[in-house]
Amino acid sequence: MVKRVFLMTGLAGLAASTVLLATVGSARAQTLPASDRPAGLVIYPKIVSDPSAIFTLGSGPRTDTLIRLTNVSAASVTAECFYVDGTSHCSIGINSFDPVTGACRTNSDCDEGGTCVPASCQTGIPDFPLTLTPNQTVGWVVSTGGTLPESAGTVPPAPTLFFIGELKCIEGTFTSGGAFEALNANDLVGGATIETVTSGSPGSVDAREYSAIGLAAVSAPAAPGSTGQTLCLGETPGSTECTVANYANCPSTLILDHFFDYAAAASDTTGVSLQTDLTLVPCSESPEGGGTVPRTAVQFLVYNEFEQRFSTSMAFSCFNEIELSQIDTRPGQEQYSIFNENVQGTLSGQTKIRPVPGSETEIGHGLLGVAEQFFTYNLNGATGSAAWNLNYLGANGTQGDFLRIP
Amino acid sequence: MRTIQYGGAGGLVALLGVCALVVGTARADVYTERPGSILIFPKVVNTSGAEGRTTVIQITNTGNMADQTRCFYVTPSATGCAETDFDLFLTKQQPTSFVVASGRGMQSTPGLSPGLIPPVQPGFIGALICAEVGPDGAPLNMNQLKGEATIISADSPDESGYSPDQSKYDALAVQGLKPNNNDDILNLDGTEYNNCPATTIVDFQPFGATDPIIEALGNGGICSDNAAPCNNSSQCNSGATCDTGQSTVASVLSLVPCNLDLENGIATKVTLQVKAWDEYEVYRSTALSFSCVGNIDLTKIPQLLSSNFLPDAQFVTMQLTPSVGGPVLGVLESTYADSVGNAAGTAANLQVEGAGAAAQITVPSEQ
Repeated sequence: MVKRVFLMTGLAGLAASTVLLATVGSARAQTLPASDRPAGLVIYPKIVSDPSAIFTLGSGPRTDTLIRLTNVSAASVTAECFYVDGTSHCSIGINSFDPVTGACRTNSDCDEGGTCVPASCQTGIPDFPLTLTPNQTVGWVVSTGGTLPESAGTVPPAPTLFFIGELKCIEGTFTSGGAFEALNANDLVGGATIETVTSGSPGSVDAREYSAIGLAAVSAPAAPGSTGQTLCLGETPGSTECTVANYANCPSTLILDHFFDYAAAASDTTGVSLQTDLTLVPCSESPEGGGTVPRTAVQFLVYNEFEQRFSTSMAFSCFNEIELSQIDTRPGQEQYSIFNENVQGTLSGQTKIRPVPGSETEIGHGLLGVAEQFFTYNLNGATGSAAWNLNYLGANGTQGDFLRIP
Repeated sequence: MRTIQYGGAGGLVALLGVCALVVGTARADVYTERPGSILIFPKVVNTSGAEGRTTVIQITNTGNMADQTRCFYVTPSATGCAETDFDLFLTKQQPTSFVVASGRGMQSTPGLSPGLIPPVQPGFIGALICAEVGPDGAPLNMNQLKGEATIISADSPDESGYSPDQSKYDALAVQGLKPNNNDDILNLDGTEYNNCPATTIVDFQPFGATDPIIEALGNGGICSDNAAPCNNSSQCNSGATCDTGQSTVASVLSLVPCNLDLENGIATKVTLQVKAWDEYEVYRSTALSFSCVGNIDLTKIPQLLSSNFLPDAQFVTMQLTPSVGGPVLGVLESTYADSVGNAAGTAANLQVEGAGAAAQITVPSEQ
């Protein structure tokens, strides 16, 4: 009897310690995105390349993005990177600004009869591999790409004259058959600087910078199949592919602290207007195109400094970059928006952004994003800008996201 | 005999498991993207004169319960490290903002007043630290705070020196753990609050390297005959050439130690070991030191100039590990300038790794 008690105690202790260690291990895993920690999947939600200033026919400021990617480990690291095209195009195919692809930002950029159709993420851009030496930072300008030092790789130039979209880089290795396989490793950090400049006299420089968002790998993804590899961002119960998470979840809520949009009267020659732009990208994607692109409903809860709450919503797929005051109004009517100081009456606000999950088991509705604010000085039209990362709350336990790579 | 040995082994494993649980929970959970119980703004400035700048602070209560905070401006002083503190009271979900140059009066700005916020003095360069407290002023862990800082021109738009240039960063949020013993010593040790990080990673363009976007699209040069700004020779007078390669990127690293004695005003002396690599694997090392809060101009550190790396190197990654004074938190501000001084600033949060040594923030008692 005494021997049996000792035995049972020992077995119970062994079981308990196993559970405790497993709990500790999973609790230490990063469960939400983070831009300030190394990760296996890094996402740059907003990339802009407009070196020819096409919408001003070359006379206005030119914009481009400087990408940095760093391997923080003491060993070499391989990564596969994908541009995702978020550029809208005129429905009639071309316009006077871009006679090749008809890139546009709004309907007013399209010639008569055309509308500006949002990107569909159906046309893929070939990916490019990189091999980073220990502690190496590589960088490139999006419009030109280029060959990186130390044989790190060759980055293609932006695919179109005007390009807006996102960049994703995944840490992994190449199999003997040449296929890329994502690994359970977290050695990448990154950042993007978007610069807008003019040349000649007097010239100008404007710059804004954000950190790439990292999703930490938590387990090894299933090996690539004939159609590629599916990376599970969080787990999706009932899924045939993602009952186990390979990477951290996308958040259930994103938090944006911002100033309410404000437009100085045109007659106020020394007035300063303020505008905040929000860029959202889906977590579920097939970066090389052709896959199911989720259409996600997004709910916004807006709080002002009086603790008053307002709400609105919108839906999008693939890529969305929008001025806050145009989320709930049309262009030209921003002063009626709940994101506008004219409506809110206070300077600062908190907006909670919640993507509405669905019941699908092979696609998700998680979102990530960045914010930018712009000061425009009426006296001379000079603009100063800044970018920052959003905050996150909670993980959606009922539906993860799927990143399908070739 | 064998049965007793099994029992003994099981008990030993259980004991080791518990030990691992206790030892293994140190986490560097200082985030820029999640609410926390302590907010740290490593760079707060209020400078005057030409190109003077000030800082707009945003603090939000992201939770559904009212949140009271004690905030401390921290800056080096003749005797060590000076602090000025004030209280904020935020209702549920309430955002608030204030300009450090003017503070915030009870009725000066629309919105529910979070409390009286004093201005900082001209010439202030330091940090702001805010900690959640209860109604009695004792520290409390609710993890509801988030914040941002925007650094802008100190001039009004109607003044000649005004520039709309701005840079913005997320405040660092230290997650509180339960229980908090509610005393005036905030232990960032993995039991009361999470640890600060062991290593800070900084990616930057070394001073002396050019900015590729300004060189390609902006005024990367000046005309050889009249020093007019130019991108290429077609923008210069006939016969003159555009001497390019004159854009610059200058960076300042702002750091605050996680060990702070705000009660006695004793400045924490910090020394950081620096390892730096350019993109060609050229390695350099040095040490950086500061006291109280650090604003380290990387253009003044010889080992970190581009002339100390390969000529074509445009990017450097730097790892900072504290050897004296304990872990630190920080932000990097970079200024991109063309050949004639048109400039824009950016601010970036830094990346971190590992859990640093335990640290303490001692705050003055409310009693």
